Amino acid sequence: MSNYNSLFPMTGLRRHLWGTILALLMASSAFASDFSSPVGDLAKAIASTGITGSITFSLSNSSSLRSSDVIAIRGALETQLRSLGLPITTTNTATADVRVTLSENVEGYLWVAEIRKGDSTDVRMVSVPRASPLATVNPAPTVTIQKALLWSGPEQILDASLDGNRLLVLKATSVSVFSLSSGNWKQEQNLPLLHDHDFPRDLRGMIVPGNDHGVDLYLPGTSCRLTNNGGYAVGCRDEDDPWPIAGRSALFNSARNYFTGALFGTANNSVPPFYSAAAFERQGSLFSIFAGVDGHIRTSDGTSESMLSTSAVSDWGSDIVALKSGCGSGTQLLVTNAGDDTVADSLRAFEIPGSSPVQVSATVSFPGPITALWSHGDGSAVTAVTHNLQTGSYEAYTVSVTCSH
Amino acid sequence: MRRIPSQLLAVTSAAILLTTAHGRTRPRYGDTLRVETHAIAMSGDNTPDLLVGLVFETLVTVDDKGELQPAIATSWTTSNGGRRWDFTLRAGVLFHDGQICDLSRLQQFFSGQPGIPARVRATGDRLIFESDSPQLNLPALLSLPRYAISEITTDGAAAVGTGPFRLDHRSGPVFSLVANDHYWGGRPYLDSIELMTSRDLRDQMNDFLLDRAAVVEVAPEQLRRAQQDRLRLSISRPSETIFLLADPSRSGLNDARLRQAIALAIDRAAIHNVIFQHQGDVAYGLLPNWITGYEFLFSSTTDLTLARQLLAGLRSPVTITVGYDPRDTTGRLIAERIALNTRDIGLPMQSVAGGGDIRLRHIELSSANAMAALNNVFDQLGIAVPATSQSTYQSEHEALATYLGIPLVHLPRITALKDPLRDWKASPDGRWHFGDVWLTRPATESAP
Repeated sequence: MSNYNSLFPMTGLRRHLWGTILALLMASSAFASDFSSPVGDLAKAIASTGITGSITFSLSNSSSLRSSDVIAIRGALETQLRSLGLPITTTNTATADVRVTLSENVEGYLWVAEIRKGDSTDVRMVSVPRASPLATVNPAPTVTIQKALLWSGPEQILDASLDGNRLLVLKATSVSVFSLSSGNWKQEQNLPLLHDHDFPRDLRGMIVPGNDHGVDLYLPGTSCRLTNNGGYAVGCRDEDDPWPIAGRSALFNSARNYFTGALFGTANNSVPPFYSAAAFERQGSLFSIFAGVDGHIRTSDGTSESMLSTSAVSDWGSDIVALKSGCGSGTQLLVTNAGDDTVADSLRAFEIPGSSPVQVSATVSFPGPITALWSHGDGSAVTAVTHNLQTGSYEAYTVSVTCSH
Repeated sequence: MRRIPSQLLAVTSAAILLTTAHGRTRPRYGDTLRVETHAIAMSGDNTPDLLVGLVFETLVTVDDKGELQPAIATSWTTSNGGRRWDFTLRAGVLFHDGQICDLSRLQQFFSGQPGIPARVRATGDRLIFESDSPQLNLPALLSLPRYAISEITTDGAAAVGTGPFRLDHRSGPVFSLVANDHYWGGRPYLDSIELMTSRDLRDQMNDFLLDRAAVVEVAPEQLRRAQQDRLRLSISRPSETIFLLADPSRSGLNDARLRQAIALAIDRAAIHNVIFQHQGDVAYGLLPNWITGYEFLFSSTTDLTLARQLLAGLRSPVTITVGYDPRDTTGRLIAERIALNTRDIGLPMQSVAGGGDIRLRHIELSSANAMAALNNVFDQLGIAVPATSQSTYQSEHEALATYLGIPLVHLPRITALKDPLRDWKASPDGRWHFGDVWLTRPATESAP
């Protein structure tokens, strides 16, 4: 005969106060933060089957938990069972046999206890969420790329930028305004972006702050203006206004994820469709660089166009942005890595002193694909948005470059 | 699409690699993806499961972690102890023929669906399901492919959906799908998909090697060969279970002791090791351990002694037949092995192609959500969900105790992919998602 408790209602685990002994046992802070509560819950669940007196106890691990965690869980569980009046014995005087299996399923860890008493077996289970690993940053040899987490949330972020002492976060359906409160960003407003235009997949959007008329928001086939008169207000139009990029304006394909190639500015011209563009100086002349939809990287001085060697840029992604640092040539190109949305991305800094790009920084890793890379203000800071593959959240980083010595 | 003469292919392939071997992170729009599957879409089936997620969508969907996510419904709440569920619909969703997917159409659709344990009505902007008893798992139930939303076109010719691709036409086993420019989730990157169904696995591999298909299935027992050939493979968690399904109206199989004796006689490990070359897992539960975490609680070993004891209490058994799909070569091997196993306990059994007193049945998970997947297995096995069940473990435990469906092995879904394919996200439950897939260049020659 088997008795059981419900699996899924157990996700809402209650917090329990722990005794001094248990706290000492759980010297590892990671353990204390992740597993102390479910250990207590499982011990109580075992005790709730009505067994009394001494028990035999065994624990096996069939999950991805580290052996050090398993040892700590075993010790903590034994302590908890004893404190609940269930001393552990190895003799045949035991009134019940408790077998715990540390298992896991698609949602997280699942700790299963089989409590055998005579011919009957009770089953108790506790669901335990998995912890997420930490991101890493590589050291840098020449110039140093620094990233600082600006904002993180479950919704897709298209861009994030500071507007004075406010943080603006552009999302697919709204723009959120945050202010600093006790060192944390606190949401002040969330303004819906109303539009009739159907947005494409791989949605892109850009914040252009600091204009005297307010802040412009660019989305495919949609332009919005954010004004601040004691509080922010937003108005949107279904229009194909060119987006400001690389010191000029470029038309964005309202049904796709790239710029059409039509450029406006000092001289109206066109280039093949591109995903991103940046401007940089070389030997006193201003150049533009384009990451083409066809995979080629092109440079242009406004009159002639050349293509960087395929082998030199074979591992470049489709997002390039210029960052004014004052180091080296004064401006570096930050480039994403080749890959798709299933792999973690990175940023590297390049300069193009001649016909070929030269990497001038170490690779800085991100916890997921970089989905947006935009330059803001005077070009001394860049916003990179990544979709964290471990947590599923979107994270906006401020990226800057400092000179290495 | 650029055609490359086959005799020049080897010479030009290196050059193609050189000219296209540059990085790209952002998805590229365009091209046709040719996909083949052994799954069968019956000619009269207007909404085959394999088109769910492509052409047809459900009210809610399940992500790779088994959690429910919005689809046609953006949110849902429950009240009255799970007897009432309110679903708020996504605005602006259109069927492929341009009709609005609104409350009245959805109410009409769900009211006509069998198996939904609730009454359906529409109020305000909400679709409401009400029942006399608590239906705590109703959203999970509604995520199953069998509740994919469709609408019959005004001319009555076909069923249309709301998904990222619309059905352009069907030619026998081949479905031609084209991108839905007005999809609420954004137009897919691919222009079109040619989906060939009912394709034998060997024919699939031939088409793959001849560049006639970019996505094909690989049999689990062929995995090592595919790895040796350095094919690009996507391997799911175990997502399909082979069951032995007993028909209780046949040959004394209405006695659970006979069914249990058969279960105890079967050497599952041998089937797993020999026939499937250690791919997947030996199955003891209806669902694999990765989705529930508790399958090990059902594990058992072959017990010929107990099986013989159970048989001894029965009247002399007649010969039982074990049936397999005639197209399934591994199915024949499994059936023959089971027949050998049962002879060891004195139960005569014969393998037959086609029907049988007990028969082999492949059942796909359909969902990474344990409750939804279990419901689907019950439905496929024809097992009534125990009325008193409070959890997946309890439901599964009671269903297994009937021995009407005896799980044998859990198998992964192995997919071979052409190199130009990007953003292929291997779903743990084996489902294919093509909405975000794109190609760096055409992946196949034009259709044969």
